[in-house]
Amino acid sequence: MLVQDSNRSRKTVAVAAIVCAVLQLALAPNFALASGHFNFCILFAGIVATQVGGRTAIVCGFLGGLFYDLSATSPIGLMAFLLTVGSLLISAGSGSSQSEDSRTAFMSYVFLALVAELVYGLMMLMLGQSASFVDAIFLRALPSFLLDLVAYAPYYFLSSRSQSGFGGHAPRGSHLSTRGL
Amino acid sequence: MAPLSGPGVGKSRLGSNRGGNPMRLAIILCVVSIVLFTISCRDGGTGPLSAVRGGFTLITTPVRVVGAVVSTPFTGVGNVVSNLTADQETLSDLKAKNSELQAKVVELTESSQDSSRYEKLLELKNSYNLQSTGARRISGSTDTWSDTITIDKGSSSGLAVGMPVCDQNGIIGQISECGLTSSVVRLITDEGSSVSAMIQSSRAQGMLVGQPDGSLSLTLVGTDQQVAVGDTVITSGLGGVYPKGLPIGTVTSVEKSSGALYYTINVQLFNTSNTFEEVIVITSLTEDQQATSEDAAAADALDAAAASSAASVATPVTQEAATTQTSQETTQGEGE
Repeated sequence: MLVQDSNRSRKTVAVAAIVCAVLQLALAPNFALASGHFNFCILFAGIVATQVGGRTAIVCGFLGGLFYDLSATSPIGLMAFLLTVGSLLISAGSGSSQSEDSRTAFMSYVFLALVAELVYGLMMLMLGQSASFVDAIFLRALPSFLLDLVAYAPYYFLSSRSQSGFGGHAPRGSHLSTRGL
Repeated sequence: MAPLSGPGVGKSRLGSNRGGNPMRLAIILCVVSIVLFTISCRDGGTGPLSAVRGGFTLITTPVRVVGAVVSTPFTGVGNVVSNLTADQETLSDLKAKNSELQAKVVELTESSQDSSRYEKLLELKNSYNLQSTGARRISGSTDTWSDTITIDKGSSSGLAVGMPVCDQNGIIGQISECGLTSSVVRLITDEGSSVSAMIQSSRAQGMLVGQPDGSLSLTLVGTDQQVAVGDTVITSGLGGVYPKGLPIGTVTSVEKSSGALYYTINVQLFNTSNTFEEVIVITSLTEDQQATSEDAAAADALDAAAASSAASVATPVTQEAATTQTSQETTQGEGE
């Protein structure tokens, strides 16, 4: 059981890494809302943080952010820092490395995406890479956040189905864990 | 029985917790991130991190290209949607810009065509080493009895009556009147125009004259000369007016009447449109542009041959007529 959990974690991380990397390189530059773009690296960090947690989530957050910085034109290290901190907070907030249910995971992801995009936008404004506060927040950060939510939708759908259809991992706090005991 | 949930149960993923305190790892990675960020802000696009980014871009380029190709149809749909929702101000701006650009296109097309004609004129000038000056046509004939054009240069530019005029295709006429700032050019298609010309291939000499209907006829070419449809007609240089060897046109028909001494030859100018805009006026002839004495002698020989041929045709006719008259007189005498 424990070995299966470990293998499943590795598989989750590997699949998420490959899919998000390809989408970040191939799709993100070609679709935009106002001046905002998809950030599949936040999606990757959010999935690992909510489904795996712990040190793995922190490392994946750092690597995902670094991947985003290398593929963009902004200073390297900023998104890596934000996703490292965000993954740490989500992992610490979940209280355990057990995967969260879909709704809780979604709320964690929303928190991660919103904070990361807003702070990133403000930092770009401070570095002079954005023309104004309105441009940085309302034309870039918030549209990017909306696109990040759109990117999460397929994963939310799949994870909901897998948890309801195949049982998956028992959601944290579910009454099934204590029924009859 | 102890509940399955609660403290201690959540540490089932040993893989993710193995190796120490996650907080310490997070702090280390945060420090690394801040260091990278600081270096990146300071390297100004030329440091090691920029090189790393360049290598990363190089490696990931194939994926980006595939993504661009795959997303092209969707980008087109997006453009259609944004175009459908364009506001009135945008449409008005676009219409105004479109009109402006259309006018610009017309202007540039005109300039391009002007440039093309200038290039051809220059090519003609250089090919034949013409001593010339350029001019622009400013009007055509003002009456129906003459075939002329007016150009925008005159005696103040060194022009004079009698100077030949060419366009990019060859000669077109000769200055017949010369004012101070403009000149009238009598075209070679005018009835009063004549140009010493020859067939380029056979060197058959003749005189190119204009016809009332605006066509050209090459006259005085003996029937013993070689002429065929499609032959190129050029200036012969005889007379010292036109430079030798300038193109005029091509032979379109050759007719020979029974007993005629000369062909009836029609010639079509290379410039079939008869719309001259930029022209060059030949101001002087160099020595090699004039007909040589040998050329003149050859032309005289041809004339002499034509004349003797006419005489030999006329002599048998005279003898036959005398014989006929004598026989008639004999017949009348016998009758009496």
